[in-house]
Amino acid sequence: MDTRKFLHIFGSREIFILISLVVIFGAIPPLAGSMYILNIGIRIFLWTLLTQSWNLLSGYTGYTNIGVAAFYGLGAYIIGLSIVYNIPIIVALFMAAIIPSFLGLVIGGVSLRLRGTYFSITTLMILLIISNIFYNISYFIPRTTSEIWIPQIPMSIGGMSLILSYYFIFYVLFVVVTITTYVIEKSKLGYALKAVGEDEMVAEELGINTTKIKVIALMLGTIISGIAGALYGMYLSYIDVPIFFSTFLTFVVMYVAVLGGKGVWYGPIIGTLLYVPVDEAIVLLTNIPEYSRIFYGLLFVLVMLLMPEGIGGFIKKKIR
Amino acid sequence: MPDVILRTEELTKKFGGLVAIDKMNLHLMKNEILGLIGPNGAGKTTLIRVVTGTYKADSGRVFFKEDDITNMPPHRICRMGIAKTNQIPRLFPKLTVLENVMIGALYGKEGKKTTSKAREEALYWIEFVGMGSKAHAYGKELQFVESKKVEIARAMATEPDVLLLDEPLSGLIDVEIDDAVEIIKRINSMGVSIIWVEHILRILMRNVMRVIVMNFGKKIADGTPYDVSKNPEVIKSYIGEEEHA
Repeated sequence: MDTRKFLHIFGSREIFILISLVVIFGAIPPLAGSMYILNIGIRIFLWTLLTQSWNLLSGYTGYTNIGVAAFYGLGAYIIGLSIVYNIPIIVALFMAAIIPSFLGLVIGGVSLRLRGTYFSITTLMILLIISNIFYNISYFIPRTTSEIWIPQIPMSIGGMSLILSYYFIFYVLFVVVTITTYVIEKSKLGYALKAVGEDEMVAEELGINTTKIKVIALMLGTIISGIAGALYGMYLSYIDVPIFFSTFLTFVVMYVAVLGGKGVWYGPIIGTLLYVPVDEAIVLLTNIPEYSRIFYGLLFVLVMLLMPEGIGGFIKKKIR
Repeated sequence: MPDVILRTEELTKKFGGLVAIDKMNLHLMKNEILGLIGPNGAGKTTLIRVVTGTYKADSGRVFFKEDDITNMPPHRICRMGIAKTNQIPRLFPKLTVLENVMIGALYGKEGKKTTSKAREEALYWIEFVGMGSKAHAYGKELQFVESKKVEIARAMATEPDVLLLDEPLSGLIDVEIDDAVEIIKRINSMGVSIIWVEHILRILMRNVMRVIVMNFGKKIADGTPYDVSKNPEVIKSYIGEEEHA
């Protein structure tokens, strides 16, 4: 076996990409530390996290989750309600990871046994049901409304400004999730997920418990969305149903994932880097948000024509 | 019967009104190569798929060693030590040959394995079927014969005790057939029991120890290749024209 192939197996170029991403995102704030830039940075982290969470199950296996916002919103409301009820933040964050993943276990345990669109429909229904429950939350839980204002939590780390602290909290989460997805893609679990995506019957016949693998991937994803929702809720210090339980959010996540390349660990990052900054720039320059939608429609058509497997899929082929 | 490794009892599978397998009794001995033949639609592929759990049996039982494996999920049956190949190869098209075989090694019989160990074993099996030079090609880039070989490597990577081959020779030309038969015999000599479904009788009859003939989901003959080829019912239903070949 020649050296190049040997190195390729261990993904040396991919590790290079991984390290560069970690360094670049860690270095931006000290270099260009305006609040505006930091806010864009946080949004990039948020969208990457949500897209990674979607990608883990849907990107690799093709079981499309249309309910990402259900888990994301749940995370946000868990934080919001915890603060209203004086539950410690650390406990609340823990619940924001565990409760959505338990919901994922229930949904997945039931609907991921079946092949086909059942899972997608179930996730969409769950999103609609949950958003309705939280819209009428005052009916279930006293002293609450569906709009929750949370006081700014003094999260400052070592004398940094609040926004810079949040930037670093999201940065750490981004690094952890990126490394985790990279490791998963190269692991036993990653191979099983890819096998399920390619030919589920054969995967099952080769000894893969396909239902279990799919549920695990869904649960890992929901932990990420739950925590992302919790942290973003704290960052905004305002939580309501249209922002967090947004069906539109799911479609943006799917757009970002397919554009960036689904089933590739760096696909969500590429997709987000195209989506968030360009979206900001177009809104900033034209003051008309609709222009960015037009731009994204055209970009999507173009990418799908030239790189049907997304930009990440295209790169993956090139660096093989 | 201590030396029986796989056994079916009155196994029946229906598709709607069609009885694909009708009260099938079959046994496979340890280290045996058992030929399974029959006209198109006789139920050979269905039988294999019921044994691997891909199709659910309507009645009857399947025993592997001493365990009843009837209607277990396919992944559990694979982990117990039964692997199969498909008549039309089904490699994972967007994964490389190495990754295809690695998945077999990672999840097959010996569950707990690191990826580097699985890679090592996968490379061994890829070499074994003579596909070493194509280890990094994608599944979809292979030719038909190559895919068939990789499927055998992938099945062997799961470390089976019983290998079910669904027409391994169909679609191959003569040179390739010799090669494939050689591979099958080597696998058998490693202690793997084999059920070999085949249409090319001339080759099969020369290389198996025992033959079962199926027609309309039923077993119509069971014996040595010589006995079976003299069986009047078999000749009537199936081998008649082959006699003169």
